[in-house]
Amino acid sequence: MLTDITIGQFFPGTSLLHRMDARVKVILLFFLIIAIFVFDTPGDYALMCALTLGLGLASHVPLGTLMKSIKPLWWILGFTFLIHLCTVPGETITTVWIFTLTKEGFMRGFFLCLRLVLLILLSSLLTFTTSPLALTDALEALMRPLRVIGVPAHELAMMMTIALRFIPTLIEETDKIMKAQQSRGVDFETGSILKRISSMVPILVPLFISAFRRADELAMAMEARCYRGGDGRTQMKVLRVTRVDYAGILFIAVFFALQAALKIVGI
Amino acid sequence: MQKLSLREMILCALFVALVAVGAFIRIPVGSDVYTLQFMFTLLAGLLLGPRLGATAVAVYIILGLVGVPVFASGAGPSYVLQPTFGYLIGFVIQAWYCGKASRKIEESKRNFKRLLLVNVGGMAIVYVLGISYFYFVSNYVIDTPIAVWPVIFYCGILQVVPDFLLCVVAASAAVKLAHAGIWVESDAPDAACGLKEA
Repeated sequence: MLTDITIGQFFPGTSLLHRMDARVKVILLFFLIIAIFVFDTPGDYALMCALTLGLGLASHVPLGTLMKSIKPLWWILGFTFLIHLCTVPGETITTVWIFTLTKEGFMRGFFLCLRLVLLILLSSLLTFTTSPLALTDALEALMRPLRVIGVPAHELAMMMTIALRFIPTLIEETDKIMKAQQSRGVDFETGSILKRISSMVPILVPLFISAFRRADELAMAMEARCYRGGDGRTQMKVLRVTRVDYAGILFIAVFFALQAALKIVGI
Repeated sequence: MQKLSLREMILCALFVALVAVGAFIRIPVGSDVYTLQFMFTLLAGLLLGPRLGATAVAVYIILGLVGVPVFASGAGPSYVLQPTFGYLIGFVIQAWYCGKASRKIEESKRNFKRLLLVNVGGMAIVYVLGISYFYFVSNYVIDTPIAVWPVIFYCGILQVVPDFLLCVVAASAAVKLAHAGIWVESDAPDAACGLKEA
């Protein structure tokens, strides 16, 4: 039940994308996502595909690994494509049973799927080249201005960091509790659904008790080290905007200018 | 929002991790695979109370949206486009509701039946939000027209039995945990860790 779990898609490396500041990457990704929705002619899509491919190559993440990130969404993609293929009216290609497949439907389904694939690929490029901790740091830094309206930026980032730290620990603990209960005769594998699900109770109770205890211990440990929130706190790895980042920003800006120019010229 | 104390913050963080673990535990039933995510968000609401429970689930969602793969399938900002994202939004409100409703029950009356009732109420909230989001995203965002009734059938009726079982397990576990002192009673910052001295 608990095998084959990887936390974080982070793919360590030293490529240009890896060396960029996490904050800059998040902001650029945000603009790219908007751009995908704004520029939607076939020419724009070709440009965007080229950009995504280029970034993928620049990240040194194997393209196969990158493509795997589409896997969870393949059924939505397939479904979207099929529905459009069958329902959009237009020039008929062929008729299968009661469905009429049209050329317009094919094109529309294809471009919608392409849009989704680009969105997924671009956002997974961010997670492939940025460690989860750098991401939460970036999030804290980006949300800091929102503290004026009461968004607890530091607290949120700290909660995420603690959660990240404890996910593997709790998985291990769940596994241990399951084995302990199995050795005492609890059966998770056979029986009706009701029986199998109710055998979760002897896992849950010790798991939650231990989680509460860990919370207590961690709070004690942090208080003993004089933790007192985000104000005036320094970091070991300070986020810095460097030459790579300016180059990245410039590159994306030129790309947008090119797209906008093409749109005005009308290609 | 009232500021979180350090203990409350850590407790929320651990529940974020627990919900993520719940999303990883997969129980194969026939050809389908169910995760325990929903059960853990129910327990977050019941055990932590409205404020902390909703905070924990919300942080879980933000963590997933930032790109840490804590959801049942993948993660990242594009998850918003998944038709099933509505369930995640529903979980936040459900956690708040379960916390609020269960705090209204007196301690002596906090038994399995009453907590199950609270859980079923939470389930209804998740369904209303999940199904309407599914309908909205399918029709207007990924532009795939789908009628109201099939959505209600596939996302609602077919899921009711397994989800109800999760409610049952969550309620019975919550009763046991409440007896063990794992129950954040009030929203006063100092009462956050209700663990009795063992």
